[in-house]
Amino acid sequence: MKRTVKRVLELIVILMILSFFTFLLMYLAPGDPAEKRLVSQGVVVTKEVLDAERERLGLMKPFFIRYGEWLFGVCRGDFGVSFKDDMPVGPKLLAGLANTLQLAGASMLLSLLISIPLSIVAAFRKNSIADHIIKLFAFLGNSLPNFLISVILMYFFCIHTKLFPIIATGSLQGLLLPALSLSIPISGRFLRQMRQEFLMQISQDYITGMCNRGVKRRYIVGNVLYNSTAHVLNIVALQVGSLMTGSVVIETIFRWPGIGKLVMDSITARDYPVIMGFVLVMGTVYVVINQLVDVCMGCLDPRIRMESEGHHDKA
Amino acid sequence: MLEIKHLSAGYEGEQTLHDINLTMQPGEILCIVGESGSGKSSLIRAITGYKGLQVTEGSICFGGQELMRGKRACANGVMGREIGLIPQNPEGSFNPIRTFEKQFREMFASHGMSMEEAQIEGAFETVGLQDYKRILKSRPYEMSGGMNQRIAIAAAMLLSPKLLICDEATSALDVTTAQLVMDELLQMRRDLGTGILMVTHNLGIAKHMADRIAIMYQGELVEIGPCQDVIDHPQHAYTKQLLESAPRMSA
Repeated sequence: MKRTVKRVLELIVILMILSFFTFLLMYLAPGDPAEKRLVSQGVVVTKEVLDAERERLGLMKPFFIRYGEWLFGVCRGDFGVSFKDDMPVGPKLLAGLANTLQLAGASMLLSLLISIPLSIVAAFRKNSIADHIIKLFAFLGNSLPNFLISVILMYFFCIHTKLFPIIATGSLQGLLLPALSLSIPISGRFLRQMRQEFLMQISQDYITGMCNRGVKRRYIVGNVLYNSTAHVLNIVALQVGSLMTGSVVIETIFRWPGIGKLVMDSITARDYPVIMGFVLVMGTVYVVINQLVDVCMGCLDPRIRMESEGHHDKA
Repeated sequence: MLEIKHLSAGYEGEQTLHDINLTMQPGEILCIVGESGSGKSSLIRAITGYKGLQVTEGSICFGGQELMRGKRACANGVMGREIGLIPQNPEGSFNPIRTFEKQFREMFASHGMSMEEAQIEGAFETVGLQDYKRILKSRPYEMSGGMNQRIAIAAAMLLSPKLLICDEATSALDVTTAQLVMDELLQMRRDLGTGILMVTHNLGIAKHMADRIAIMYQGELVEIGPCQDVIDHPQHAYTKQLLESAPRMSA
């Protein structure tokens, strides 16, 4: 309970620092949201119109007052309204987040489904033909950028065979190709890391011990998996962050209405409230996932829990 | 039961076993004696199919089954029920973060046996462990090295293999527990006809237990014969040297 409180406090501090620096960077960066908005609306931009628009958006106030006002709003659950279309930021982010979570979840699931069985085969049949093929796949997956994969997939599945729609607006069928484009490079990375971890586990004394007791292969695989879970969770957690934020390109290519696409559009339009909201949401997601992984790891391997609680004594 | 013919083996370029010939009858106790680095452990690794060891020549037959051909002993179902092993450092032979109960269950299930608590209790008592229920609920990392060792020895015995290989198994135990284990091994031979291949550099143990003694020196089997013969009439120079130094060490 005490630790939960500590973690929540930590999260708040992290988010404060994060939001302050993002706000500062955007304040310093060139580009004027008022001008962008007026231009996109086709208004003839004169000095008077521009100043009036700036005044309306609150851009004329000093930096700290603007940050303070924003922070006060956030504390009350109000993320402000978008500079671009005057829509409230909260629901906008929420809709994008839901779509991105869908895509990220599907990609992660697909990556795990590809990489766990393959890396087990690769590790248990080290230096076999299967291992070499899997390593080659991992290398290719790792070195091909996901937008290239998406274009190749689009060519074969959407244009050549017409099995899938090109524009994947929120449908389950449309989800597959973007998820696959994201998960192939991730699988490449996972394969390498998991193969390494499984090999490390296989080289442990307990595996020799199990072999000597004639324990069946499936139980040995089970034990290797069990002991690797903490490590695998860690790899997954590190990837979730980049999956949430790094799917922008794929979201744009497939026109998936996720948070990545939303924020890209907002950056172009200098839509500060949306960008700030995005940073907060992502920061929270990132920290929460990492904390969850910490808790899970402690449950899976009691030794980790003992270490973090400061017990080093052994029976 | 066990038949080793012209066995040569080694690790990456370095030959540690040269032309070993050895047969064992069911229920026999054979002690292999030799100094460190004489190839005793390599011989055991060759039999149990240790991955790092490459067999360059020869064959190992167990109960009519060729162990070197196709799958290694550790993968073809021979280990455990047919050949049991108490390794040199048995304390790491269980998964450190899973409970003994789960691991025993998997071990028995692998051999199509059911886990009987009374049996486990008995085996634990043999190696001087009380309160088997508490032990089954705990994980290896919570136990001391000595406890883990004893549990591993008990596990190997519980499968009652036809041939039990003990690689310096008792050298790490305290004297009383070592004696308990020795007695249990002799009991197993009497009751179940278990053959025992024991590696040791302790001639005292060899004298006490063995039907036959084999002497290894620099990767070769230099002498093998009935226990008393080898001790009374050593043929090889190294054996004589070994016997001369033995009383001084025990005194």
